[in-house]
Amino acid sequence: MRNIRRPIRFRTKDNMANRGTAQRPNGQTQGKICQFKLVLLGESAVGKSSLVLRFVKGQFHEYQESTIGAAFLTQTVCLDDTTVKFEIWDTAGQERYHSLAPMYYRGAQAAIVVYDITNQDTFVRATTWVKELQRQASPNIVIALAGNKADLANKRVVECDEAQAYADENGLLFMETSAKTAMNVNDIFLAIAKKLPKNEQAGNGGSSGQGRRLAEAEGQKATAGNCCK
Amino acid sequence: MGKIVVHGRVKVRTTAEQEEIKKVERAKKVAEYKAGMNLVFQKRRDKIYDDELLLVTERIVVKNPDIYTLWNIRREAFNANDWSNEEREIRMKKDLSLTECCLRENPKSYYVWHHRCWVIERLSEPDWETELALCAKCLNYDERNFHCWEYRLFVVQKAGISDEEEFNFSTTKILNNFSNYSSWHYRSKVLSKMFPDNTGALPIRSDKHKEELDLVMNATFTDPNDSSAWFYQRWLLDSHKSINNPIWRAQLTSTAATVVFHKDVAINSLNLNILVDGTNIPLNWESHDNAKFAKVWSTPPNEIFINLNDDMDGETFTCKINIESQEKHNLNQLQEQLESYQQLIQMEPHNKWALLTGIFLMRNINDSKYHKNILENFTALKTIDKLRSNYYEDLRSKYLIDYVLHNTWLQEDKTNEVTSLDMSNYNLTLLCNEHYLSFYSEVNLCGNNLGNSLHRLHSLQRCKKLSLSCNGIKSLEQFPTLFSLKVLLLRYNELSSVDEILELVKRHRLITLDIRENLVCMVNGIVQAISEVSPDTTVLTD
Amino acid sequence: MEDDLPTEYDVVVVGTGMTESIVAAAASRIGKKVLHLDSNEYYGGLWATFNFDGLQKWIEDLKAAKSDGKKDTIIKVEAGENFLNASNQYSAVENIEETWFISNDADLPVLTSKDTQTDGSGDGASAEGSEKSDEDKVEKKEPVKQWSIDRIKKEYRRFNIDLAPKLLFARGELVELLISSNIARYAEFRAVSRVATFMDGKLTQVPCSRADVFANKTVSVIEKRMLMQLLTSCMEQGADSPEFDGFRDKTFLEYLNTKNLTPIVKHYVMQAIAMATDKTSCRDGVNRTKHFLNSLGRYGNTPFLWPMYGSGELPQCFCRLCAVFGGVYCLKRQLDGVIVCEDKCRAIITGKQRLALEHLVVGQGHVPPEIVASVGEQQISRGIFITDRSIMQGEKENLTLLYYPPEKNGQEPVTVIELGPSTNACPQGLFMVHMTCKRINTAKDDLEYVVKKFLRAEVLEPKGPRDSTDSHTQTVSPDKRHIQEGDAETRDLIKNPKPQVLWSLYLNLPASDIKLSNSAPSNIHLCSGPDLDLDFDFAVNQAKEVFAAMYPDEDFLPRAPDPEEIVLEGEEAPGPKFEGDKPGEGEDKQEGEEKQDSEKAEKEE
Repeated sequence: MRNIRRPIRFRTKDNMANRGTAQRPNGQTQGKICQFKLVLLGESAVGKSSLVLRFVKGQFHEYQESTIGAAFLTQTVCLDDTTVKFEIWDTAGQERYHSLAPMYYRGAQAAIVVYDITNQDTFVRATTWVKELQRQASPNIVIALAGNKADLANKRVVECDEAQAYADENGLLFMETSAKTAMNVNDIFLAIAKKLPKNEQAGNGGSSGQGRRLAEAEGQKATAGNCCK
Repeated sequence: MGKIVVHGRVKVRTTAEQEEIKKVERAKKVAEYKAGMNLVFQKRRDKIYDDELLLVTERIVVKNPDIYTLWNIRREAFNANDWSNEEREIRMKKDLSLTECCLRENPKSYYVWHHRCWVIERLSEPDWETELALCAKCLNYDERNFHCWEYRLFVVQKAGISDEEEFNFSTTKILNNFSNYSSWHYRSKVLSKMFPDNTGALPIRSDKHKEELDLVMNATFTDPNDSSAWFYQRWLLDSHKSINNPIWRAQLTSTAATVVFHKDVAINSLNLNILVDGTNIPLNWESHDNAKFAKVWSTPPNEIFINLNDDMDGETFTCKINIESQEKHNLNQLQEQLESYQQLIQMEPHNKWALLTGIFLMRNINDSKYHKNILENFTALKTIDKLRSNYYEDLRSKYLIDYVLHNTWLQEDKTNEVTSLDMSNYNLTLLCNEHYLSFYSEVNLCGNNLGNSLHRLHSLQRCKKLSLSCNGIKSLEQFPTLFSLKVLLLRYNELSSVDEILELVKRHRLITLDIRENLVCMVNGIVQAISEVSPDTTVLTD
Repeated sequence: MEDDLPTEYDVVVVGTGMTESIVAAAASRIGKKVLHLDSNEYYGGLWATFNFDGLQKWIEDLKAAKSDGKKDTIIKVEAGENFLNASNQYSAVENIEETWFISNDADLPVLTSKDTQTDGSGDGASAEGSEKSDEDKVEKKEPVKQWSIDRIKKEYRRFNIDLAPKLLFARGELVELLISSNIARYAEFRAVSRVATFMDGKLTQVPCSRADVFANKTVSVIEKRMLMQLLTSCMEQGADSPEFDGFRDKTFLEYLNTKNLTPIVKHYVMQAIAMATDKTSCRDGVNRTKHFLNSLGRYGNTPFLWPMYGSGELPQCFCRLCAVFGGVYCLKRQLDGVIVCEDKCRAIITGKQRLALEHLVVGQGHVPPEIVASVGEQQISRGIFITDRSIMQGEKENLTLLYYPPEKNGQEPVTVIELGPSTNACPQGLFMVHMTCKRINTAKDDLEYVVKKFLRAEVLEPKGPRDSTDSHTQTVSPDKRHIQEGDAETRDLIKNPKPQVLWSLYLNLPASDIKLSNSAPSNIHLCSGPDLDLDFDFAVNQAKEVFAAMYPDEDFLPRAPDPEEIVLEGEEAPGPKFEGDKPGEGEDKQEGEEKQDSEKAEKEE
């Protein structure tokens, strides 16, 4: 990442406490926390939400209702000296009629493009999403391709080699996953976590490192600087 | 759209549910905390400073950084353990991250900053850059955190950061928000170090002084209600006369020697000598109440006998400073500022800070010329800021005493005579700089309000005639013993205790005591009681 | 692409402008079934932000649409129903004029040295890289290329060009709404770093915060006090204070004239803080000043925020919330018409589908002409400029707001917003200038006097580096009043040449004063397009009104939950075991006696 511009940022007491050293259960204080925005892309019904729910809640439901009310979910992965906190954004169904808003990708440092190994169309569509990301998203975004529903191997139509070759060509991480059996679910997030840059500039609490987010606490804190007090 | 929803329906947690979760978590924490603390104290009693102790203290301290005992125990553990240098170093570094973590929770914990200081000083190669960055971060978050400012000062010295950089740092901080005692204070420290004033008349070099006065004036005009800027200005304008010769005056008689200093000093027979005809006379110096530092040092009465020529007896040896020769700095600027502040007072007649600064400026420019205006400002201050009227009274007293002394000295320069001092009818509420009164044989303090300052009269050991008439004095309990006192005038006061009068008379050999117009005169037999104690004293009563 | 949509809704929203999107989010948030359509393939309508390519396409489409002529759809309706054709929203965008002031690559000479493209301070990237300047400066080694048409087109993605550039007051309606609804999570902002004003022949930064006033070197300490006093009295007393009693029917200027202020102080307050003209009433002036001051110190040195990637992001944020709560989104889907029965709108027709609804919320461009009472007279003149440097060079990149009052009769005050690369408005080395005013003639005519004042809008001969002694003096206003200014300007111009315009676009847009006729069905709600004001308050308030009309007893955008507050029903199984996980909430339930302990712990902690 070359020369990222960093604006002034107020830090609420909360996220001041959250950043940096966190505590492990074994009591050792440890290195920094990096927060990243990760977006999910892919056709409807390829299992995007299921992957997230498996990863975040450890659950799987055959008839998963769409994730109403969830702007995004969070989950943490620990690497050697860093805690990577994912802010995982789901499409909220906006992809259904090809109406995903560009703001969805803004500031995303990672993306998982999901297809269904039992449906060729979803794979073709996945490649268009990858192109879309390469066109619209941040140039440094880490993209992973997930061939989901790997538990339905008997209905497979997209060959693993084919997808792997495509991923290699485009510099993507690739895994076949199953939200149902949990196969490779944690692994794909872990692989992304490892690939993300973890310097100060990258992922710091609550913002893509470009602008500032607004929060209640900030406003209260800053009144001291007000012109007339 | 699937309608067979059994599981996986999304819902939002209610506040009650969240409360419940919190409650359970809290209870768990408490249990952990209690068990941890018990363990720690048991281990300390048993002197077992093992890894478990370190781990448990670490866990608790992360959440409760202000339990200083735990930090003490950690330091004990560092001292008690026989680790290799390498291991000690690693553990120390871990404590650095531990304190950093704690500072995130509570950036204003004395104990955490102290522990960090302790650790960093014991590292073989401390990374001062990191420490400096930590300070910058912390001050960014809260620029008024004086703990961090203090720590920064410590780090800067260790890291060899140039004063200039620190000066610039303080400028940035002040420009960002000048309502900050800490950054102004820090600035004053750095400036005093960078640009000391060799003449001793200013806190910092004259050109820098000028710049700072301008800067702070901008702050005070931007927000006249912010006290931090006014305080910094006060530091700039306060007189900082550090006179090269610390002795003000000395007096030597055949039975006593007294030396008066401008500042409090510690004196012994080695560092202050009297040479008579080339012979060093060994003397025992004493201060009032045996204070270690004092301005007035004398030999115990009747302890020494020096054979002096008759004409030398009572001679006052005076080390006088030539008051007039004191250079006035940046007069033009002070004058301009005074005009601006007078304008400010017109715009905002209730601005106490502007009135007060006006006084300081006028004193710095020429107190004789502005004497009347200064007193007017004091009067105005008392009325607009009633809450602090006593403070202004005392400040006014201080000013007036300085003013009278100053003028008396000018007179003395011409006549070379030090006998009487008249400070009557000034409504003084406080006696200060009393050490300058040490050599007067006649002191007139009548018509003031010095009932609460009687203890400060102890320096009047050469005073023979003292008037304290009309001072609203209620009690003489604090009245010191003045060895030379012969005439004491206490007319028109509110004295009511016969015992206090008798006690006072006992301690002195008074010729005249005037207690007319006091309640105590109504007591029958007062004159008789006094004459029983001191038959030679003439007592004037109603 | 004519996907089949579900056919029944509580609310159908047509158009993804600011007001429409807020209403859509609010309805969805309280559980209403919402369909949100837009005929465009992008979000925002006339509130949109485009990259350079997208903007070019938008312009082309506009021209095409004009010549197209609209075919009316014929629809079969049931008895008692009436079909009304929707209108074409583009009809009101006029006088589009796009100009290049630079050449194509082929016409450029080969350059050997660093030249004009950055703003003189050299590496613009590192200069503004970090406010605290504690980052290493990265020296750009790559040879500097001159800007050409090809290069700008090639870097189209690095541009975000606003049709309706607007700022947010830090304590304005929109900021409060974003925070209270928890939609703030979706967007990022930058604080406007300076408010500028034109005074004594040059641009200066207005001291608006306390820190600014303190650090300012152009005004005397007495003026500082006057300014602070005046601001404090507007702030603390407000327009209803007896202080302003004598000025109920007077102008703000008349009030200021009684305050014994110096000209500088008066100028700052009038032109930069209150953004008032000679005609602004005292009440408005005081209120504006108060609004300005109220918002100071919350997020930056000025009261204003700019949305990263442009104003067009904000409607999308509301749309996302709508979608998160189940709203259905479909772009490139046109409203063909509405079916009205008695005084109610029953359904809409779109892509051959008939969609039933309770309420129809329509952006002003789509409303069937039959139910419009007046189209509205007010229009907006806009100018967009890509320039090679800031109008006011500074040590770091700035985000500048400038209010420029009319120089003479027949001119309107112009709002200028200058954006730098850090807002993602344009690539490194360039600036994006937005000018907005009320329309009188064409956008180009209306803005000309301001463009002349601050920009060099002449074709740049491709002859290598721009020479700083270039004679720009001819652009100085010949008006006699400005002779003195002219001198100062001339001197200033030699030091700081005016920004060269590389590309410009003028256009006239409708302002939002269209009104529905009384006979319009009561469940059709109209949303205006962008207005002339600096901020979004108008849209937010209109959305609140529309929502209140639809659902008078419901909360308007209550706070959306945070991720931590969301649980799945039947959530027993803990998540994957990572180090650092919090233990599952359900574990270790030993309640009872621990209540006491928790109280103790709080004391101990």
